[in-house]
Amino acid sequence: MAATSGAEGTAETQAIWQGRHAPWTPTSKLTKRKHLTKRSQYMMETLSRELEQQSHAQKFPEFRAGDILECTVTVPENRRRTSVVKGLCIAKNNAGWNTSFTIRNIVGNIPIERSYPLHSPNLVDLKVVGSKRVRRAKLYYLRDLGNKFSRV
Amino acid sequence: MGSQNLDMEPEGVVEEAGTPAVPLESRPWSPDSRRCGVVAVKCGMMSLWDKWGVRRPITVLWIDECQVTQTKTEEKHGFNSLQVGAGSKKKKQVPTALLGHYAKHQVPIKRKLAEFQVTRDALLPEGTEITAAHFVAGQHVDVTGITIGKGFQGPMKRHGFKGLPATHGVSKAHRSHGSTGQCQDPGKVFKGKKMAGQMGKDRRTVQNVMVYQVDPSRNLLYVVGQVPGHKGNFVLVKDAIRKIWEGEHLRLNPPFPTYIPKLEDELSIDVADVGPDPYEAAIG
Repeated sequence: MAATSGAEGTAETQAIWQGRHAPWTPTSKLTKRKHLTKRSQYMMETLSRELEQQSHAQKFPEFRAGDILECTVTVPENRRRTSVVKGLCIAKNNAGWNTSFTIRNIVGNIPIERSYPLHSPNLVDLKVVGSKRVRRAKLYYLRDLGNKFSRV
Repeated sequence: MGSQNLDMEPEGVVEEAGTPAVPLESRPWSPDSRRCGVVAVKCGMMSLWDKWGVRRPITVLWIDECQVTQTKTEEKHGFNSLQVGAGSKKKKQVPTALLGHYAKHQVPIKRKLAEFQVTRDALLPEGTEITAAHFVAGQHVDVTGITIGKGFQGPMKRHGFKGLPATHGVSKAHRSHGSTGQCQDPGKVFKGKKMAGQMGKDRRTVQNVMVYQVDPSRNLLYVVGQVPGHKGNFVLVKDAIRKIWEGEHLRLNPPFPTYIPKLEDELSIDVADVGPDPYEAAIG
């Protein structure tokens, strides 16, 4: 979890609000005041983007559904040992700080699907090792097809 | 109630006739102390991972220049309390009576006022700003707000009634409340009988919400879990009363009566101590 750096923020974080006021500026110092509902939205979006900027996941490559991924994850339940999980990305939910993705693979004739938040500290590394031609953003139809279509 | 000597009068304090002036100074906690709360804006929810990798749902509360607008004392009002105000309004938007109230107590125009009963030793002078540094990460708070309005709702949604069967001859009463009482004795429906009606848009308090993180330079509080109300609405945040009974305030020692800023203070983000590794216990 990243540390923020004060009311002004670093140059990098200031680029998020780009010359406008910072979202936590007291109302009395604003000339134009939007409704608090809108200002709350601005606040949450800025905080989310700031966390994303400082996240270790920034160095991960861009990927989408249809890409074959190799994820290095630490498993907290197993003494934080790192393991490599490989599979086909069948879904990517873009939600800023809460972005998540699902990978599917056949492990010992059993289809396994695993979902991970992209910015989770347990997701150490992510590599794209291949891709399949798909015409969908979400590949849930693979659940109804045989194992050979999900095997990577 | 802590009995403190309040005879000192620092400059710039407005003294009402017949009441002693209230100085702004740090004092130690006493077991009976109750300090002021804060008016904050519910901004929204997000999630944060703590140092052990546990994901926590977080509500972000923003304190928009919360200042003490009126000090009420036992001598003049019969009880000790602090009226605080947050936000800001334009002069033309405020009724003249309220304008007079702000002018009398020499505070800027506020959008939302709320009052918190405090003990004698927790009184603050008018104009004191209460910031996010008033709270300590790791402490618990009670958050009060107006819940989301659901409109006129039936008893199944409003009170969790089970309704009637979908089939087996039930005629047009599948979601109704059924019987409303007994027969000739008592021969009436009791007051307060749960029925359909307005649901939501009422004042509720969520207790024992943990403050996970405090960002004093931005006046943000990150609390765990949910608080009542919509985004953009005002909520009242004060020390959790049940945790005070357990002595949490004596252990964590939040600033009493409030955080008094000093020039040499460097404000950094305060993150709660979440205890030992929860996964260690699982592994054994």
